[in-house]
Amino acid sequence: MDFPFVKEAISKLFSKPSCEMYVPDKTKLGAPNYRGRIVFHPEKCINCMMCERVCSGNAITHVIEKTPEGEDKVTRTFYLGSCTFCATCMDFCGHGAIEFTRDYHMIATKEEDLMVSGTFIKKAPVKKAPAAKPAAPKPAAAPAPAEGGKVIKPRDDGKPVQVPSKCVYCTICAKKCPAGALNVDRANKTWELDEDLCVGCGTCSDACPKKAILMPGDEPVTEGAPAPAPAPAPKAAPAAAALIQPRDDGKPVQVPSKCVYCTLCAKKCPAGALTVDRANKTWELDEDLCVGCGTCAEACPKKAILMPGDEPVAADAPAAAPAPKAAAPAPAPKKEEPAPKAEEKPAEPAKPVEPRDDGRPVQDPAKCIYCTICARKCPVGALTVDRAAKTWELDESMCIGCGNCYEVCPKKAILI
Amino acid sequence: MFKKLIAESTGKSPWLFHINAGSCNGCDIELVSVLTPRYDAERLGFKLTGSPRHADIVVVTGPVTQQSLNRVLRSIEQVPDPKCIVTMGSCPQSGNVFRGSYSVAGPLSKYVHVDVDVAGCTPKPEAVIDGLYLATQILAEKRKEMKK
Repeated sequence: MDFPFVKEAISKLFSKPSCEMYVPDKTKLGAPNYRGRIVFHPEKCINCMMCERVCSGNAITHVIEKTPEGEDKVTRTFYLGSCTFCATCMDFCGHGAIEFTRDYHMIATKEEDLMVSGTFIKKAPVKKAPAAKPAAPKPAAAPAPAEGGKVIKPRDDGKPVQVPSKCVYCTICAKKCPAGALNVDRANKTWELDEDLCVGCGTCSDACPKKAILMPGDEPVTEGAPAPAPAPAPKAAPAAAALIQPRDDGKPVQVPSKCVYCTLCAKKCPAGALTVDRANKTWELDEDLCVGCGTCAEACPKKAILMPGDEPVAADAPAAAPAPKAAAPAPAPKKEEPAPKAEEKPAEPAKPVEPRDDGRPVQDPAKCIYCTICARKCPVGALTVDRAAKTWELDESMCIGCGNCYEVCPKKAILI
Repeated sequence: MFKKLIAESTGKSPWLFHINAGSCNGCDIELVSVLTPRYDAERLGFKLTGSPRHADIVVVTGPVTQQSLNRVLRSIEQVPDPKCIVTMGSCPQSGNVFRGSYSVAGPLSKYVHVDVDVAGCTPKPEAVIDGLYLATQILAEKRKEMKK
């Protein structure tokens, strides 16, 4: 007989227990990178309130008192009893004023014991750089007609500077500013900074899609030739010419042959400059509203929008979308699925089904088992499949030609 | 004589009753890990009980939802005096991320006196043992006052 564990069992009799010994030691720390008690460094805080905005548990609050000198005395309080210790506030704090320590002993009998707070005096906006100040807002006030060769330097007081030649006045910086210090007017092309409100957090510079805002530490920018005035002449009209060229004023161009009029670009446009009509197959760009951000081109599932830098595309590359009905008289009977299908199927099931040329799906009744998977996967609900009645219907006005139905069909009964 | 013996031994072995008042389960898991062999609070006398009538310490987790409020309060009422109420995690103390929700009735301190708050989301098991240890001291004080 072999007792394999006897030796181990006896040796364990003389070893220490496997449990963690309880040491009532308040100086013991958690594992590295443990997020425990918050430590607030008030001297680093600039009161940009970003931490309060991102806090999911509303654990961060502040009180502002006026000192006799007219300065703001800010007391910021972290209530650990409402904290999720997610450290998002620490991540968002651009000045390292919030720190998570490895101290996990947060036991309290009173609510006050779980409060971490710090007080600092927020200095009134420094007036020390009078030279830099007028230099910065000036080019903002006089935007487009900036001469070439002018050098725009970042300011040395921590506040942002606009580069008018790059700025598209999309107002994203103003929307992101936690202090509400930026005032951008798209129509008049003005970019104004409220010196008193600006806290110098740099959020505007990070948010700018065109890198048109300089912060201290950035490279000075030489003001190049300003972007060509948005002349409405090179309209995105589907020129009958062979090639569709991207425009040189930073605005999008549609490739009608690729466009399926799914309206995604219009939905994503931050400026609301696109109007797409699915029924009438129109794609219109409002030149005044467009900020040239390129969101529409990124959103387009068919790569039917050209931005500057893209390759020109042949106008009638795959299938002329605007004239599918006229150009395709042959497959026309195949398009009317529901009614003819019922009769066709028993009569001539071997009849080959040809794919349509407008990018929309066609059902092969011989293969289709009416499993309804295609209808369930259709993102726009353009398919209606009835298992009992064995019908497969496509709503032409809704179909965006994405090809999802083709991909999910287990019987390969859908042709694209 | 027996009364004295019982009083002394209950002081050495406080029994826990755990109420989940809509918790996300994070704190519940940590509380169980406190009682299982790694941290083994049972060797310190803590024992999880199934009935509030046997308990000395009530551990509440979760933000106290509208659905659970009545049941939490009824359970706490059934705990014989002296009792000690411990909140575990941020939720019962303030509502945490659920604060202001239509379905949250908390914080717990609106309804009963809370003796110990263990902060954290979720607290480390060591912190929970710290909190329970503090609770036993508070219990001992309450017992002394009851004798008077």
